[in-house]
Amino acid sequence: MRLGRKIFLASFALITAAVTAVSGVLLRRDFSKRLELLQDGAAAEHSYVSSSLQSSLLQKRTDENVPVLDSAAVSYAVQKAVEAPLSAYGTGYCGAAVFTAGQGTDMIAVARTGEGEESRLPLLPDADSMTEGKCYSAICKDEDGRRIAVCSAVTAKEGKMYLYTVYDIDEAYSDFRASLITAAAVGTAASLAVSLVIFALICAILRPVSDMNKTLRLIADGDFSKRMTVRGGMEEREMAESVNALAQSVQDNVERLESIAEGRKHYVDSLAHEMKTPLTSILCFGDLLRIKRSVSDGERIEYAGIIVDEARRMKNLSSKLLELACADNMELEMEPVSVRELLTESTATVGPALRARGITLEYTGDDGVILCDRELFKSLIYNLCDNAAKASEAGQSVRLRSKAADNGMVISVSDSGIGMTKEVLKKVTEPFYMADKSRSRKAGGAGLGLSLCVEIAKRHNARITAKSRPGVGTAVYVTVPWAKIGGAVGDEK
Amino acid sequence: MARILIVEDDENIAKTIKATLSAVGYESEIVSDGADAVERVKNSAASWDVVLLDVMLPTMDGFEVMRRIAPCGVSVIFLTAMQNVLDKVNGLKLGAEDYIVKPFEALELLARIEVVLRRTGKLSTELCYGDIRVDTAAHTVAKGAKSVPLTPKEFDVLVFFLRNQDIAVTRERLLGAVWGYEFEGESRTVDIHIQQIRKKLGLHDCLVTIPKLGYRLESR
Repeated sequence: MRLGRKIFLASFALITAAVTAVSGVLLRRDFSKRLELLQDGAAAEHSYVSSSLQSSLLQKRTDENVPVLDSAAVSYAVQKAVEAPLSAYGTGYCGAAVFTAGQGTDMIAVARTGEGEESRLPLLPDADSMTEGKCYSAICKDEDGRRIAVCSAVTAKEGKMYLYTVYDIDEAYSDFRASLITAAAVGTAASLAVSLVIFALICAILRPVSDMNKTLRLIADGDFSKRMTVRGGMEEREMAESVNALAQSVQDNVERLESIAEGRKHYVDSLAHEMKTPLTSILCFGDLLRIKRSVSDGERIEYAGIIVDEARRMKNLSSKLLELACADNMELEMEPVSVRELLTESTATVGPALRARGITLEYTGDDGVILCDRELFKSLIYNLCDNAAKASEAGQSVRLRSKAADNGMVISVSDSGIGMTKEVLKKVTEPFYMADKSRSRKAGGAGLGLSLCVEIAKRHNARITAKSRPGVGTAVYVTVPWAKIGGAVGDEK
Repeated sequence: MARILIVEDDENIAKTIKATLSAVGYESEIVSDGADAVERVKNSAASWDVVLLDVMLPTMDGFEVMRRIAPCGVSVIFLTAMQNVLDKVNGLKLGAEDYIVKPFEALELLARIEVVLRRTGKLSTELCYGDIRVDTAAHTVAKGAKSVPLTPKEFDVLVFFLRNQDIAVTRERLLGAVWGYEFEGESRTVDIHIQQIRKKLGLHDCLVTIPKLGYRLESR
């Protein structure tokens, strides 16, 4: 059952119970008090009738001028006494009886209001156990309603008499009953009203919860752009804002993961392509050499030549891949290195290979100390020089420079080769991307060189930037932060 | 003989395909750009029996080329390095006859092309070898004037060799091409059939055994 309805039923039941209980208790107290008063009244009435009986007897004795009355006279006097209060208005007195010997026997006088049989008097104590002067009362119920019966023993010259008076208290009871019913009815009605109000309030409070549910459902089903409108009281606004923050975070993460997955798929696709392409030539030419009946010398040289070229290409690719994989995981051996020394060494190593292609490599620049992994950093330089050479024609030069700046040492490799457009420049560090495929492939490239450089730079906390103009040339800048004086080796990871 | 257009941007792959096609006598031309390919096909669709189309082309991708040449009705076989099903389905949906996954062996390529040529009726039904004449439509073999009875499989093996002369064929490839790749019999089956063909047609000197490789029908 929904919360609103639960609360409605609970509050209705509780309030009804509470109101009814409270009014019940209060009414009961009142009723008890009233009964007490009525009992006191009945007792007082009884005393009055008792003394009235005595004076009636005295009066009769005076009238007849005798010291003791005979039984007829006693009856007469007593009857007069018990009848008198009947005419008094609104006292509740409804009758009396006098007996000479205990309850129900030898009745000498009786008076009562209304019709009906002889009132059955309640179990009042035995005539013998009654003490003089003491009133005994009890509440009884007959077909006319509730009564209080009082009795006492009266001693007169003529003998002992037992006086019973009956007092009507039915009104009190019916009043009590009526009050209880009214209280219950009013209580229920009030409770219903209050509960409805509470229910309405709960529904209003819970509306934002159902809004939130709807929104979250939509988001869970895949619409990450859904948001809640921020409105209402403070708690509502807070909740809406939290939900929106969550949704935004989910959306951002999903987008980030999608782009990572996209990138990864692209990488794998490119890798597969780069491997399968040389393999195709190798496999097919190899097969032809094997199964053809006659292969001319020219064909043999051509086919075998291509097989060797493509195999070299695969060799290059796999070694670059390995380097790339290692660069991620390898432990670097960082040491303070003199830039001039490093770059002079590199020129000596890589220069001859470039010269073989007709390209000169030359270096000048500032010196300085940087923290780097020697081998890895050299690999970076080689790759940049290689790229520069690939872009250049025979007769051109590749310039290696080092310049000291505030934020670190700027090492640059520039060429006057083919250059790149802005669009190409943006994509150039993507794995396997080659600006000029055929040119790179001819030189045995796989498109991984720059990715490798970027990885290596990252491990050295260095930045790579590039500038290029088509037809003019390209310059690649590597900014390596200065080695901190007193910094521990391997500090910068 | 069939004329085949090769649309492939990698120079070496294009060369190897051309060399393979020449080995069995197909004529071919190489185009390395998608737009060029579209033009060539549109201008002379009738002259091309099959177009071998690489999926990854630099400026216009293979599927786009396919879309543009489909109306010309030329048979197209896709060359792709990717294994993914989506690409294959895409290609076939656009109307390609088949696809070949790189890397491939020479005979693989030739087998696919043959299937397509047969389907489009461009495969020659009459084959000659010396005084042996074979009609693939009528299913007859004649040596000189006499008709030679061959079992169905013997016939298929003979036709296979006639279409791939001067090329060494391994037992596995022969089994695959003639009996289908699900065949689980021994490669002895091949040997027995070769023997029969040699005997019935007197090809002992021409249908030679290449040690460690297979068999080859050498042209005169």
